[in-house]
Amino acid sequence: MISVSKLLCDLDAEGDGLRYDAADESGKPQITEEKQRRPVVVWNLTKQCNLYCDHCYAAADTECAPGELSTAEGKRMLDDLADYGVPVVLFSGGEPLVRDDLTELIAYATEQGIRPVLSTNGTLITEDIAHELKEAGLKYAGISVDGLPEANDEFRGQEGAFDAALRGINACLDAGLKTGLRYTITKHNADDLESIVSMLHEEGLDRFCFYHLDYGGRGNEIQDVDLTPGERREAIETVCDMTREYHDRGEEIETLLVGNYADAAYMVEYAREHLGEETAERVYRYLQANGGDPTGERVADVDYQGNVHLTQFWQGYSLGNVRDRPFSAMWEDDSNPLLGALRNREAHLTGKCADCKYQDICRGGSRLRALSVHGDPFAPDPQCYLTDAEVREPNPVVDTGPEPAD
Amino acid sequence: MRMAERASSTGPKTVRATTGREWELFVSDDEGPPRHAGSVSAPTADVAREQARNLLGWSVDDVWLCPADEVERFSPSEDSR
Repeated sequence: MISVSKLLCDLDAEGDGLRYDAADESGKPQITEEKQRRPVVVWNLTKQCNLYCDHCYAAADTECAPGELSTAEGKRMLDDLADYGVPVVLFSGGEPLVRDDLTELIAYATEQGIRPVLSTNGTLITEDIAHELKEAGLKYAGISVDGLPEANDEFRGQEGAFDAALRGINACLDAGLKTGLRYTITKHNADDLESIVSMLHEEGLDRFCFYHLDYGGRGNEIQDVDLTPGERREAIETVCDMTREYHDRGEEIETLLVGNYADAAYMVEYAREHLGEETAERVYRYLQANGGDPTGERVADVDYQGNVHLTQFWQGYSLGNVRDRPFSAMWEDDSNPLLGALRNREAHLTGKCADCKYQDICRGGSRLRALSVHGDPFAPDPQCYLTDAEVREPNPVVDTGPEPAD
Repeated sequence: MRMAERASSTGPKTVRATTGREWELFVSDDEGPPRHAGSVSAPTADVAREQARNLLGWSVDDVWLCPADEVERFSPSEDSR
């Protein structure tokens, strides 16, 4: 997760302590430095959803799937996550609000010292539910909207889904719950990006997360609507330009990019072009501390049945099941060849990623997309949109010493 | 929202049933006996084999694939009660 607003506009935000080693310089409360060593855990509470979205990485369905972790099993897992020092649990799905024990689990996470946040389509959030979530200790609700009303409803498989999500957003805002947009950029909605921000900002929203399509679940079946490298570059440039324009007007929106660490390299290039070399260096240093793609390191996933995954998008491979072994034990076990290699991926990356000058702030991007397209988890990310020159020219930010020929 | 205890798990037979069949992976290299290395979701053994090769083939000598729903899992101490 890359905070565009932080990097380009120096905006303080509560999550910066997790994304960067910026806790000391931020004016807002930060998650402690010690806890940053542990992953953020996404928990897909259920596979059931009231919508049927084209891009769903969890391949959620309208029917409840068998084998969901029970309330008691979930609490045992939260105990383990708390003992292990997991800072944040992202309650997700399916649609997490279809589970009637959601507030109970959020309250329990709060009691254990875990910061509970929510990923939802927002359509089931009423005023009462928003207040219950807030009282249970929920710190943030990320609500998915994937375009203006018509495009969103078609993508999400239900007429009226946009309006229902908007009601959910307003219910959360009215309850005093920090709320943000989740928006997966595809060919269907790239052109709506600025309009949706404008529309929702008028409603009171000030946090906007833009996701790249990952190739997991049903997301793997819609690669044909994924952006071309040129379109992707244009979309990210739009996010950067838009963020600066809002801030120049005194409207301090928070904007974030998720799921493609070529964005990290692009942020440095963008900063150099528009803000100067000194800012570009600062951006680079922040992103170095951020650590690049977090798969198998700073993010983990537990699905509705308790299977542990390397990220929420990579549901096709599991390290094991929390019913058999605690999450903490699995996550600490580097004897798993794939987990071990992902944590030392610099030694395994191939192709243009192997000697890319931005490797330490990108770390190869999505290993799932590489696997899906190339059949090799260490091949280049097919979504990389950097130019050959950006990948290969000497790093202008960090002095790497004389060329071997000198 | 109702505070409710959800029904407990329906047991090991359903634990790993996801979009496709779940296949447990065991691997060995020159360092010792086979060890568990996670699981993959795949509709057939051939697809599971291809996935295992892609994910782990670069690092191990041998791979065993076992349908998760064919594995009998039990705790002997509880079984004898």
